[in-house]
Amino acid sequence: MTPSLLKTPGICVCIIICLSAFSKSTAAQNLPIEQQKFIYFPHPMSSKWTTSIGLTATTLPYDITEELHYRVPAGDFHVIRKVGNKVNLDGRLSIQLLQNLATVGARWTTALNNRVSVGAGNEVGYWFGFVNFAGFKSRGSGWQNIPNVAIGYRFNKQVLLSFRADAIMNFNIKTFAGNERVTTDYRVFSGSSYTIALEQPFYGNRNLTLGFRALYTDFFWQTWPAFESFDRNLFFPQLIIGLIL
Amino acid sequence: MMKQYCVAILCMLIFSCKKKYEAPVPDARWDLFSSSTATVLTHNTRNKLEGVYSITDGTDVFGPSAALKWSYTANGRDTTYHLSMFCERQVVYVICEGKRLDSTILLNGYWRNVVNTETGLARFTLSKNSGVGYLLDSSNPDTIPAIVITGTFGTGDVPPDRPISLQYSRPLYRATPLEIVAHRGGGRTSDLLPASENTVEIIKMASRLGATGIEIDVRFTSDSVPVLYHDATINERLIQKNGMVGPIENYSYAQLNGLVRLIKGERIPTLREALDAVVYNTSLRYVWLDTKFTGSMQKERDLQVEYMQKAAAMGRNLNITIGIPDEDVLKNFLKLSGYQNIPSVVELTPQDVTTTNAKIWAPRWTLGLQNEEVERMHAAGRKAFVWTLDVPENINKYFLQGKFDGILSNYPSSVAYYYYAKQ
Repeated sequence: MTPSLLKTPGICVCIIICLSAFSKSTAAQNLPIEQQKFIYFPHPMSSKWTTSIGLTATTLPYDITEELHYRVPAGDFHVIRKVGNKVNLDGRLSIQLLQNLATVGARWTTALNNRVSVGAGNEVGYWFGFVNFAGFKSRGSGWQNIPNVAIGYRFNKQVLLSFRADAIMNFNIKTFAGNERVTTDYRVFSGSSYTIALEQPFYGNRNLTLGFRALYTDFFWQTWPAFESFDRNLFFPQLIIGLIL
Repeated sequence: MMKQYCVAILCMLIFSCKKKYEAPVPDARWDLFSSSTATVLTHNTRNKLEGVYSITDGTDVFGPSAALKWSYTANGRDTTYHLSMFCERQVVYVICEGKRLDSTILLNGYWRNVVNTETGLARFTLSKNSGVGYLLDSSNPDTIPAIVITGTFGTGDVPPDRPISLQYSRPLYRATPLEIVAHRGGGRTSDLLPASENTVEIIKMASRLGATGIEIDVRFTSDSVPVLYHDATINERLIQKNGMVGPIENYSYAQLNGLVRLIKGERIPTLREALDAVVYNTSLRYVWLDTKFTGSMQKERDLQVEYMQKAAAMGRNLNITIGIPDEDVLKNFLKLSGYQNIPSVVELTPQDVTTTNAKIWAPRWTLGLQNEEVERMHAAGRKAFVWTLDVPENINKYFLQGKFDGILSNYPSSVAYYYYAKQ
């Protein structure tokens, strides 16, 4: 086991600087949870809508990218809508223009006590992409199903820490290189991912999400142009930054 | 605040753990096989064992069919023969050695699924009522009895206990020759093979993996020594971490030889060492020198001539071609004296093939079957190879519908199965 992330000090420094930068502002505020904004925190919503925009950056493994070490940024638009006392709808767009993922789902959440909340949900996603690079005209699409569970802990000073686990299921993956169908034998139960997200006040009425997602999967949708053939779960570290509006 | 730091750091530690995959070759020691009375199989017995077999037990791991073919690795006066079983299930193979013990044939080795980490021991026995009399007989009767190979296989180093059974079905297909070209000398490092890509060790394994030829990547060190290395830079994908970074061309051969170890512990080989292995240790008949450098190609050309002559002197029909993957390399190739007589493989347009008088045209597979263009190459006395085909269904499609003379693949065992099992 290799603590690889710690060998990328930028991520650690970034998280610690952000925690430090906002610790003073949060010290002065201690709002009840009903008045706080959150996206990841598994707690019943008080407002009808919560929206977040941000970025994800996923590092692709050498096994797939070979000599190039890609850290692929993607625009991230996330919205949740309260539809019941403990139920909300969850929609998300991950945008890279040439390849995009849209997911929609539902999530049930409840507070176990004043500090701890839990949630469970399911999301269905569709991804598609087109690449015309160095003579390779490729296209691909596929469906995902992502059942998930989450647990959250509310610290003082409006700091919300969430842990979420997803099962990643891939269906109907279709990739083409030119006119040739690339038929690869991906598993339906492709793997899992684990997200740790920190949400806290930022500036004005906005909140900030800082998160890290560890994906262990034999197929990650952003790597479809590589037509990789491995039938083993590879590690995709993903950094998440979001601004809750 | 401390609590937050602790939680963040703890979580990073927990979730930043990357699993390291390995598929080590199992320890295949088998007392019965190593017994002093066990003898090597004769050429005739080995030949009779080759063929396409249907698999009855063990189909969940090996698929319904396999092509069995022998290859050898020469080491001075010693020659080791290996029986490879190229399985229909993607991408599974078995590699065994064979011996005779009294009136029994023993096969001992291991199996591997290349797309994941599944591997384990495999042991087979052919005794009475399984055609062993025919196999051990020095004559060649017209009628072939039912040959049944039974054995066991397992996972890892654990003694094998799952049954596997193969029944001879037909001889190997060889009607139309096909060059099965293994990428990077035999396969990629990322496929967790027993040796790193572009090494002497993987070149010696290539035939066992199904290859009849290899593609290797040629770069130059700062002191102009041609070496085998794929990537533009020294990186952790290919080498054991040692703090060295940057282009391989920045380092002398002595530095690379002394300081760099590839993932499986090998040194970066020179092109000369690689071609030595091809000529003196293997039965490979084709080498594709993938030119990864820009600059004078004279040294590459000189080695090409030298080793084709050495192979010819041994009575070997070895074809070594200089790869022309892009316009820059093409310009350098055209500066070579008598370039039109230099065996080359061109990945560019058919017009470039004509300009260089290349022996082989090599389009990427994503451009499709291109049967008309391939036939035009054949009419001009050239061959056409396609790269890099890895998906078994596509390999089979290119066999059934295409007209290519060679296939470059990371999985030569899959290509070998579809070729030898063709009817």
